[in-house]
Amino acid sequence: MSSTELRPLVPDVARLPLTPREARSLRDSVVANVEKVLVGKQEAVIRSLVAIAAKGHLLLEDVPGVGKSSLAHALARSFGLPLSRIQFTSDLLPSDVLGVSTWDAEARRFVFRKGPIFQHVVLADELNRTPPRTQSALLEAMAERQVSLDGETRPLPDPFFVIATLNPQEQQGTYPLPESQLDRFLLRLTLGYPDADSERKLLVARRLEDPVSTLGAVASLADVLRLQAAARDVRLDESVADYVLSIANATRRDPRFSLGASTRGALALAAAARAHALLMGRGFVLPEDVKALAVPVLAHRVVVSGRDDGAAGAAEVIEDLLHSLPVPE
Amino acid sequence: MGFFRRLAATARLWWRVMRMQRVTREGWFYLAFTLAVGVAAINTGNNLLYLVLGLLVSVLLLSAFLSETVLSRLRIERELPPFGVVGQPLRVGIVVHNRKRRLASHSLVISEIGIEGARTYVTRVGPGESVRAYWVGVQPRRGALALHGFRITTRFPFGLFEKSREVALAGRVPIHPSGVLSARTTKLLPRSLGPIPVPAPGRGLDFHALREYRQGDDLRQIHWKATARTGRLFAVEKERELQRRVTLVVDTRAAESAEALDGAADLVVGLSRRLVAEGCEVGLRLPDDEIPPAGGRAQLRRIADLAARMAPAPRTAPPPQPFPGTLGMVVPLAAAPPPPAESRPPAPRWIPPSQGRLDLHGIQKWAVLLSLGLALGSLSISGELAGGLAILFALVALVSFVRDRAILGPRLANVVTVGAFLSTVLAVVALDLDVMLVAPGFVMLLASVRLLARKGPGDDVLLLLMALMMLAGGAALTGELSYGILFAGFAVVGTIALATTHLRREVEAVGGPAASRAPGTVTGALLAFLAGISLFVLVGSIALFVTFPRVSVGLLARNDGPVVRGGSERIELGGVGVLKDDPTPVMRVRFAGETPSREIYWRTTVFDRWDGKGWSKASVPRRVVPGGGGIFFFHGGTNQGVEAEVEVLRDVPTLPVFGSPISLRFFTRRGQPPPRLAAYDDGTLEVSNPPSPLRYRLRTSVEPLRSVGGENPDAYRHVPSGLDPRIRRLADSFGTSDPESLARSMVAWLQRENRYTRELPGEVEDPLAHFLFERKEGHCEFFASALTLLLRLRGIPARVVAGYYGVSWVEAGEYWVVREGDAHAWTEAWVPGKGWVLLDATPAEERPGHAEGAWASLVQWMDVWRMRWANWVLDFDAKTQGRLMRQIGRSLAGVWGALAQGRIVFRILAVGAVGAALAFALIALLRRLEKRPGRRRTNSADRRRATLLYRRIRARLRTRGIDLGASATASDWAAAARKSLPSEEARAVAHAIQAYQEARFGDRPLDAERMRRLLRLLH
Repeated sequence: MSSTELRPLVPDVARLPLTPREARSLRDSVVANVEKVLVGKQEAVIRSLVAIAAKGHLLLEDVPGVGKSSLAHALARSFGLPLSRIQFTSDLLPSDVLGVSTWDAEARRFVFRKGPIFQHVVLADELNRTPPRTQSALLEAMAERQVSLDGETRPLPDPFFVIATLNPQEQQGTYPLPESQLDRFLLRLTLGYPDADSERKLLVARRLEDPVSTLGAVASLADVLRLQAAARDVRLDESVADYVLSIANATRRDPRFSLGASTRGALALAAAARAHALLMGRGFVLPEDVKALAVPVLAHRVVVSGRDDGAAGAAEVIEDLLHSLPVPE
Repeated sequence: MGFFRRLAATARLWWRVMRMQRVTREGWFYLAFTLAVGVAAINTGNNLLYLVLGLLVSVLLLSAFLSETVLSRLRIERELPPFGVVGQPLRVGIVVHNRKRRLASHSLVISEIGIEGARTYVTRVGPGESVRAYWVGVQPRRGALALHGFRITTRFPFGLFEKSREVALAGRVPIHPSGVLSARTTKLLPRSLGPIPVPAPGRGLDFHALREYRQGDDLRQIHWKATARTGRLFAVEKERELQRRVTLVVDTRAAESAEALDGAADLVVGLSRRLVAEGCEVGLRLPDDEIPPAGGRAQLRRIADLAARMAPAPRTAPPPQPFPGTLGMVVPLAAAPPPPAESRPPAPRWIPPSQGRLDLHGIQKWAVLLSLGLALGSLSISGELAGGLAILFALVALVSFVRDRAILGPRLANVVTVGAFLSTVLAVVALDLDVMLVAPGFVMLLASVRLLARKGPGDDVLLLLMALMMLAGGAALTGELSYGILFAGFAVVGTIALATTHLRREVEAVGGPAASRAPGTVTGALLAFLAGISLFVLVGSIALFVTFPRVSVGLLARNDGPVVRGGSERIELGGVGVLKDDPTPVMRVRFAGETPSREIYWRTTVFDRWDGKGWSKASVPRRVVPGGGGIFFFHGGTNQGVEAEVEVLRDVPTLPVFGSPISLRFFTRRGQPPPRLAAYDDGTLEVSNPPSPLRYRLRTSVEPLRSVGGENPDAYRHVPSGLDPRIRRLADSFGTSDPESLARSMVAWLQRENRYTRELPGEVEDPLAHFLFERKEGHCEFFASALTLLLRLRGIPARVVAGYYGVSWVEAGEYWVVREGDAHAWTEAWVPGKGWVLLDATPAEERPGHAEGAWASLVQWMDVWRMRWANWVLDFDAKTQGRLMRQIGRSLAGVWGALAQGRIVFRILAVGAVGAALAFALIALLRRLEKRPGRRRTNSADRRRATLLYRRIRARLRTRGIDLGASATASDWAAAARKSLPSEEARAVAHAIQAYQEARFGDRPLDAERMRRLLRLLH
């Protein structure tokens, strides 16, 4: 666990929204920057940026060792934001995450020592290794964007971004997250193994020191705020909104799903589509954005009946569904 | 010997393949009907019935061929879930790959062999495509679901034949017990786990105790609240979390059967779930199998797999013991098995084609209605159908289709049908009505009953069969050209109706009545395919019609030729109005050899008596013209004369001839009684038993009429009393007494002094005197009457002859035509030594010529087509067939010149082009009826234009062979264009798509000019 001092929040004056072109160049520079660390994963980086721009949180579910932590670190460093990493173990207490009031003998009062969650970027590693009580502590703070302890409410910093990693469910000793908690994450990504060329490049080029530590910043905190403000203003046409709703309705009505997408899910898809459009350099949402993000946004929010492979199975079924839904013209 | 064995093996294989064919109920009806029509066609020789037979047979051929291609080159794979659970729906996936490159496979029913009710229906698998289908079942018992293979059945395209194929593909899905524990068992749970472990300090979560902070303790253990209260450092101790390891032990040796172990299996699954959820590691031990303890989901699945398979072990096996270091839990065998879950037979699933926009229901409904309308039309143009009945039927059909629900109950419908049948039989027997006349009415009554009791597409098939019957009825009763047009329309529309009815039946059988209404059940590709096969049916009907051998066994059905009236005629002078110039053809004439001059006078009636107002004809003796076998001779003449082939189209008083007939030969058909010819003394001819059609070859001498028949000029001298004296004075005013020159001077005077007009004089007391002295204008009858009377007043026998004058050439048909408007009257005068001399007093320039004008041309053009229809379809016999075959052979083997002469080929091409045009029009119309997905409020003009632009782009890409479905985005289309089109074009496409996206979803305007520019760049 590590934590650093907070930087002061920037004044509101600097929150001018980015233009689509600026957003696209921001995306390009961040992707190029992360590429130095994580080769061949541009799609995942763009989706992470979508989560950032839509003010949502990111869920990374994958086998160990494919670069989940590296991605988080690289993203934080690209934006010049400090990252605090919480390693969730089975004996972690909620106070270890949120913070604890300690007794200062000289001052004769309780002093609240902020937990690692009070940071701009939080990497919650192996979230499903910790019992449900500690999970809820994190997830509730994510939803509320504030921490209430000992009668006091302390807001979390802005921008606040959580990257949670999950181990695959088959492994032992995991506490699976229920669907209502998974719903709080905007996107779910799997990284997967890199392709042959990228892996070869990685092996050849990797020096002794960890490249993440030498990564510089290509954007700033103000850029993140401006990106988030711009993402809210992206134009969503009615027909595209209907498309989003048709996808959500299809998951609710199709007999393959025992639980369909909630309204939160539909809202999340719309917000993510807006962010995606902005990052592509457009001021308006296209059906392509919705279609590209449907699986990352919805796969962990729905339950497929009769299968136990969780979101991976749901991804397959949602892909199938997308093929049968007509795109607005 | 090996050869015979191979032969036997092949025969067995064929037998097995043939066994897979089946004729459906509708198929039997259809075959019986085809047989009936075939017999009727051969018996009557009616060419239109051959046409209908061609339609029926080409539908059969198409059925057999298509159902074979639909099943060919399909590969089927299974997608099995890893396991199923008792009582929960189990979804088994089937993937159908169509390995054909150009043809799609339609209407497949895929069912599992050996599992009742496990079927699914796939509407369409495009060429090279794969479709995922699935069926859902519920298993009542644990164990394994064994799958053996599939049977693929299709009834495409018309539901007449059913073809199947079997594919052996084994599979196995383990079915896990449900693991649902009853409340009683849950209460027993803590006890069975043995003694509760004593709480002890450890690294768990739950509070155990507070104690003083010791050196070396984890800083996190400091309890700050206690520290603040007491001033000393306090630490919290948490409870130790026991890692419990449990083995479930089941002694299966004591069980009698696998069923007795069901309860124990459920317990095993339920317990293991609970234990793992509480953090234990669970293992399983059976006398003959074991699973070492572990946690996690994978372990649960392993345990459930084994529990599914659990079976009584042999008594010689060792008793099961818990694993070392674990807590043992003995699972009782006598535990109550869970209540049996009801096992519903799996519901059939239907996979709609994912790309369509049209809905099947509407198309099928209107296609059937249109077919019924065309069949009704073809029946009613025969004229044998009461108009009221036809209108009533049309109304019933419309009401039934618009309402789309049964109006009569089934029992009432049956009662009415039986009643109608009985009353028809009664009518035919008792009133001795012609079956051919009653049958159409009966069929229509049946069809009306079925329309009122129409419940769904099953009834529609019967309706289409009845429409076919009506079509055949129309063929038997009529011979009009319009039948051919209606037939062509029916061939196209009826095929589509039959195919869509079949599809709708299949879809509704699986998906329920609402399934066919869902948009997406029909794609444009399917429609194009249907249009293609209906075109094939049309072309096939014509080809079969041409090639069927003609053997006429019975009487011809056609007896609608024109009639030669007899009876008395009259010419009335006077009257009000204007003589019409009627362009309706009366006769078609072809001349062999040289064409005579235009001055041809066709004689039909000769008048002898003038009564002051008009001419009448007294009865004249007649005698039989010698001849036989259809050939008749008039007088021996050495003069060859002119030969003309005449076809009479309308009713005429006598057989029209011109000049002095030398010989006349009728064209009769086999089976018609021989005609007999009689000639009157005035030279007109009467025919009894005229052949149908009325055609004859006339050889005649074009010299003026010589003594034909008996000569009795005195019959033509009569002048009535009371004639206006001025006429007598006029007659006397002519100088000469020589009959011929007298006649000519009279003609000259009449032509000079009087004018020709078609206007009638109105009601006058003495029309002739009025004409000669006051009005001085009139039509041909006036001129002829005047001349005749003037001649008679001078004592020369003269008579008025009525008939037709001249012939007009029809370029399109290459024949001469005589029209109603060519009717004329002239005079014949008796000149001693010469005989009857023809004199025409009407001014020459004003004699009826051919009628001009658009209407006349239209009438003429229709007559040409009627002639062609009669020649090439109605009268298509073995001789014409042979001629056609020879001509086809010659033009195929010949060079361009021969092809130019082979107008037959052009006719066939023209028919094909008409059919193609019909099909394309149909498709375009249906495309316009597309349902949009949901009603939207109108967008701004830019967005509308953008949508239009997008549609045009996609249409253009489709013509270039790129077709993605409705679920493809604009970027997908652009990517596909980039892949398969040259870079220039792909760039234009990308540019256009970008403009569409910006205008449609963004707020960039798109004006019409820019849209046009973009579209232009695409082409």
